Amino acid sequence: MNISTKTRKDYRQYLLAFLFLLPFMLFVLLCWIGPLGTTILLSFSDAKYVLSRMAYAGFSNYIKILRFDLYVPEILKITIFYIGCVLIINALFSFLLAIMVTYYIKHEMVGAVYRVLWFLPRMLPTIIYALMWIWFIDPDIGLLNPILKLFGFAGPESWILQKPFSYILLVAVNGFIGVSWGMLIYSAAIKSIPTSFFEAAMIDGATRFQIIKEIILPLLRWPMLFVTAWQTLSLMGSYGEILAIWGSHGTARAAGVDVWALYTYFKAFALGDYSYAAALSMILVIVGIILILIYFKIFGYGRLMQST
Amino acid sequence: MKKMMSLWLMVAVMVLGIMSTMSLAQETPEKIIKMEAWCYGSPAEGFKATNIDRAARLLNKMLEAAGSDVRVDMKATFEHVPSADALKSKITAAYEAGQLPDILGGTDTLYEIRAGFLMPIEDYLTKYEDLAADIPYSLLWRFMYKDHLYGLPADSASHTFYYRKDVLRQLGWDEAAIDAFPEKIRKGEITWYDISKIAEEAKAKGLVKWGIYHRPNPGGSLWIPYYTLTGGNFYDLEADKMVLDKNSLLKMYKVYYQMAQVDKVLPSTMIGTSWRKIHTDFTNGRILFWMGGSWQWGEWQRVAYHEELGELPASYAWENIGFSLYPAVETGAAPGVNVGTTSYVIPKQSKHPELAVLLALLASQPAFEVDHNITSGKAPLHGGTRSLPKFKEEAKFVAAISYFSDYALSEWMPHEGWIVLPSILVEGLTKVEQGELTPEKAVDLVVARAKAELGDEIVIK
Repeated sequence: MNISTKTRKDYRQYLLAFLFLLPFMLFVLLCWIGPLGTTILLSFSDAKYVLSRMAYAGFSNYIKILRFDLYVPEILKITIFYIGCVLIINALFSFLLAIMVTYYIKHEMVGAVYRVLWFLPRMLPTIIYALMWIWFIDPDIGLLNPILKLFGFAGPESWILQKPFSYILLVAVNGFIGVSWGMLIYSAAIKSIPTSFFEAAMIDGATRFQIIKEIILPLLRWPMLFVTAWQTLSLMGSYGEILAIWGSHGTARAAGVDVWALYTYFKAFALGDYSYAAALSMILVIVGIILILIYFKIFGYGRLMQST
Repeated sequence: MKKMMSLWLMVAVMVLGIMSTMSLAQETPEKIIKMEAWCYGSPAEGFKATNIDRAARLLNKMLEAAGSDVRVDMKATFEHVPSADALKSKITAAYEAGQLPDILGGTDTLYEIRAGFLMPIEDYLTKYEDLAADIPYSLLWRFMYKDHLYGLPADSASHTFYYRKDVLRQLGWDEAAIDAFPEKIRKGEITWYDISKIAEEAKAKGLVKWGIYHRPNPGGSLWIPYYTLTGGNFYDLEADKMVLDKNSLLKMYKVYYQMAQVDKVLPSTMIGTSWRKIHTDFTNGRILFWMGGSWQWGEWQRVAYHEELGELPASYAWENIGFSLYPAVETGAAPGVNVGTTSYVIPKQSKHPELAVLLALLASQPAFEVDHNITSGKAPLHGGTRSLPKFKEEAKFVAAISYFSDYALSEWMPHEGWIVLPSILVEGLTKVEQGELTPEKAVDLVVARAKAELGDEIVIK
C-alpha cells in the first residue's frame, strides 16, 4: 500500500517535471532537432533551387566534397587558420581583459564601464559592425592606415583584398567580437571566487601573478571549457561579418577568406545547390561534435561534473 | 435647441451615409482582380514598376469604357537590392511559400528558369503579337529556353565606355580631338592598350588617382575583351555546353595584366571595391576611364555621388563626361558592346498569367517606356518611342548611343554552368591583377576549376 502510494507520488512528480520541461523540449525539438534532421535528409538528396522537389541521392554529395571539390582543401585550410587564430586570441585576450576589469580594477563602476565598452561590438547589429570596419580600413578615409603610418608601417591599398592583410582582417573582425563575450564569462567567474581566497594568499605572501596562476586560472577551468567550446562552434558556423565586409562570396574567395560556412552559404543561396550545402553543413556538425568531445577530454569534463 | 441640432446632425449623417453607399454601389465594380509586381534594378530604374501601375490604370480605363465591371488592382513595387544572392533567396522563399507575385521585373531569369519558377508565355505573346511586333528578336531570344519563351524584355541596355573630357582637356587634348575620340574607337584605331597608355600619362601627370576602373564583381562588362572582341564565346547553343576558349581568355587576362601590373593604371584591388566608391571617384573626376553601362548616365543624375554638386546636373555630365563603345583588343579589330535587357517574367504561381503578360507588354509601350529611357539611360524596345518629342528632347543620351546597336553582341547562356563560371573567371582575374599569377597561369587555373566544377558540361578549346 505504501509502495503504491509512493509510486503514484513519484509518477506525479515526474509528470510535473515533464510538464515544466515540455516547452523547452518542444523548443529544442523545433529549433534544433528539426533543422538538424532536415539538413541530414537534404544532404542525402539532390535538392536544387527548391526544397519541395528532391530525390534520394545517396552519398553523392559527400563523395563530391571529399574527392572532387577543388575548393575544399583551400577552404579547409583557411577555416582551420581562422578558427585557430581567433580561439587563441580570444582565450588569451579575453582572459587578460577579464583579469584587468575584474581583478585589477577594484572600482565596480569603472570595471562595469570597461566591460560595457568592450561588449559594444557584440551588441551592434552585424551590418553596422561591418560598416564601421569598412570605414576603419578604407585606404582613403579610414583611420587604420594613418594610425599604422604613425608607427612607421605602410598600410595596404586594400585590407579587403591583399594577403596577408585580408587574413589579419578576418581574424580581427571575428576576434574582436569573441573577446568581449569571453571577457564577460571570465569576469563573472572571477567575481564568484570568494575574496577570502585572495586575502589568504596575500597574507601568505603570494604575488598577484601567483594568485592569478595558482588560484584564478585553476578555478576558471569550467568557464574556459564553455567559452572555448561555444566559440569553436560559433566560429565554425559564422560568415555574416565576412559576407558583410567583403561584400560577396566572389570577393571573399579572391581575398582568400572563403571559410567553410561562407562557401556553404554560396552553394545554397547563390547557386541554389541546397543538398550540397546541406552536406557541407553536416560535415561542420560532425567536426563540431568531435571537437567538443576532445575539449571534454582535455578539460576533464568528468571530474568537473563530479559532486564536490 | 440642442435637441433640434442633434436631430439635424443625425439626419445629415444618415443622408450622407446613404448617398455614399449609393455612389459606392454605382462606382465600385463587382469584380476586383488583385495583382502584384515586384521589380528590381538600379536606383534609376523605378519606372519599371511605375509603368506596370500605369499599364494597369490604362487597362482599367479600357474596361470601364467597355462597360465591364472588372477592374485590376495592381500593386507594383520597386526595390534596389545590391545583393543578387539576397534577391534569389527572397524569390526562392516566396516560391516555396506560394507567394510569388504575378510579375517579376529585373530578376535573374536564368536562375528562375532553371529552378522552374517561371511560366512559358509564348502562346500569350502570339495572342498579343501586335504589341510586341517591333521588339527586336535579339532581345526576345534572351528568354528562350528549350523552345519556350520565359520572359519579355523591359528595355535594352548596353555597356558604355565612359571617359572624363575634363581630364583629357588637361592632358592637352583640344575639343576636336575629344569629339573624335569615340569615332576613333569605333573604327578600331584605339585599343585597350592605347587606353592604358593615355591613362598612364594622366596618372603620371597627377591628373587622376587611377586611370581606369572596371566593375568590382562578376558581370558582363568584364568579359567584353573576351567574347565580344576576341572571338571567344562562353556557350555552344547547339551542343548546349559551356565553352572556354583559352586563346581568348589569355588575351583578356593580358589586357587586365597590362593595365594593373605593367602600366599600373588599374587598381590591383579593383575586385571588391564598393560601387559607391567607384561612382564617387568617377563622377568627381578622380578616374579617367570607367567600364560602365548606359544606365549609369541616369544614375549619376539621380544619386548624389558628386561631393559638391550632389546629383550631376545634365549640363555638367555633357560637358565633362564622354562615352563610346568598348575599344578593340587589337588595332583594326572591331570594338563592341554587350547589349542586354532586363526582364518582365511571369511566375508559375500567378493566377492571372495572361493578364500579367498583357500588362508587361503595355508597360513597355512608347508612351510609358519613354520615361524609363529618360531616367535610366536604357534604350527603348520600340522604334516608335524614338520618334516621340519627349524622347528627342529628354533622352538625348540614349539617342546618342543608338549607333551602339550596330556593334551589339549579346550572348544568352541558358546553361547552369553560367551560374558557376563567372566566379571562377573573377578568381583568375583577381590573381592576374594582383600579380599573383601570370595571364598564362591564370588561364590554367580557370580551366582546371571550370573542368572540376562543370565536368563534361564545358568544352575547352
